Amino acid sequence: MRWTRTLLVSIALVLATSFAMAKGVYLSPQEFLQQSFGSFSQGSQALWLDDADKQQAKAIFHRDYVGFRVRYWQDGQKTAWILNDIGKTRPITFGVVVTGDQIENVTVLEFRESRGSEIRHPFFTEQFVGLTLAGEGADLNDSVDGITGATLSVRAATRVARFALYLSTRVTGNTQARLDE
Amino acid sequence: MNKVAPPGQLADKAISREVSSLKIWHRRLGLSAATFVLILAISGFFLNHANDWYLDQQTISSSALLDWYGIKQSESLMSYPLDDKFVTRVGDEVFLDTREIAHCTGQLQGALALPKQHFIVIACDNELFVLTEQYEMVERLGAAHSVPGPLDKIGLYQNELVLSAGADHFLADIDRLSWSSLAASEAATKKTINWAKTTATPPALSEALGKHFVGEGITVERLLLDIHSGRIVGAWGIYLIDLMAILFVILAVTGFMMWLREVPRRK
Repeated sequence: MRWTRTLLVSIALVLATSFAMAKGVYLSPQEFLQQSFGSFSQGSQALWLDDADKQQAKAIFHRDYVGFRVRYWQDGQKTAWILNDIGKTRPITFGVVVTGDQIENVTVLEFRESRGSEIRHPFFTEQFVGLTLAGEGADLNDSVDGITGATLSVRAATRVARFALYLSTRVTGNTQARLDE
Repeated sequence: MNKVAPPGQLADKAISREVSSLKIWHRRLGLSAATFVLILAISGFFLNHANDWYLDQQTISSSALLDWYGIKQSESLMSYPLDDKFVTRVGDEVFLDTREIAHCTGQLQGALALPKQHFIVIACDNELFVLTEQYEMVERLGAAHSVPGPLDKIGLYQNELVLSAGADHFLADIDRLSWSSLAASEAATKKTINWAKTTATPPALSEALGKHFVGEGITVERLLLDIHSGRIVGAWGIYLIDLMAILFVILAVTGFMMWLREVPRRK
């Protein structure tokens, strides 16, 4: 029967799509850096966190930040950061590019939680483009709209964006002047 | 002489045949999908109230379910010794004694102290965790830092860190992030590498880790989510649920088609 054949083809197509969507890695770090800088040949640099940094990190993440050394990639005023934060129970890996004192893009590289992966979509991540730090608490200068059912992931993305902006100020010195104004 | 049925009756018979064919398929698919409808409805109902009923905080302790999740009880745990401490992987987490220190994707592949740099290095398949000698996390290094992988073991050669990824061995400098390949001509040196070795986890630690994992590992919400998504029976469970979703669509369509076909007859 013709309609049975059509159904079978449809089932095969849907299954093939679900195979392709099953993985939680959306972009490899190399691909992220290639997209950010045009090549991956650029070596990373290291930023050692001092007490003030750790305190700032604690203020942003509301817990002690795990780690003393953060690697980053830099090309002039542009820096790229690969950072993890826990959404509900598992770490989410984000890539954040900061140019000057503004976010150029936020990308979800790997999502390991069972819910909340909607934050990977451009309709959400594009909200971060152009945001800067405002105030001593390292808040963003504009609010980010949440997603129903992905509240904790949204918060993780916001925290990582704030931390990347803060770290960027440490290596480029851009926003420090802005915060001092 | 054969009687010729009027055109109206012929059309009715054709519709009737089509409807009964749809009914057969509708019934077969409905029967196949019934169990899954119940599973999805019940698990969905409880998931909808997971927070209200604290299902995300209650853990399962059934040994059958933990076995199903592949959580081996304490006696089968293996650890990498570090001085008087032990590095052990339970579930997806790495523990230093009973302290959870990192999320480990894949297997734990080694842990050792670097005497020159005064660091501790713990390796998973695709990541290295660098710790101070006081066991505080310095950083995690992975594909973004060009760490070779997947790793299968780590060791020391003349107090330098060596990574093994399949047949390739790399001399690692974790400060400069340099991973230089040990050439084939240096095969002799490879024999003198001291690879990190596992040891049986001490019973007391095994028991503590077992309790920790049973206590915090699998929540009722996690179990319900896995049932709802089909993950409870592994990767194929997801595709089975996908298949069921398609069946539900077909049921809706065939049901609608049957109703549509019967409308003219009723008129």
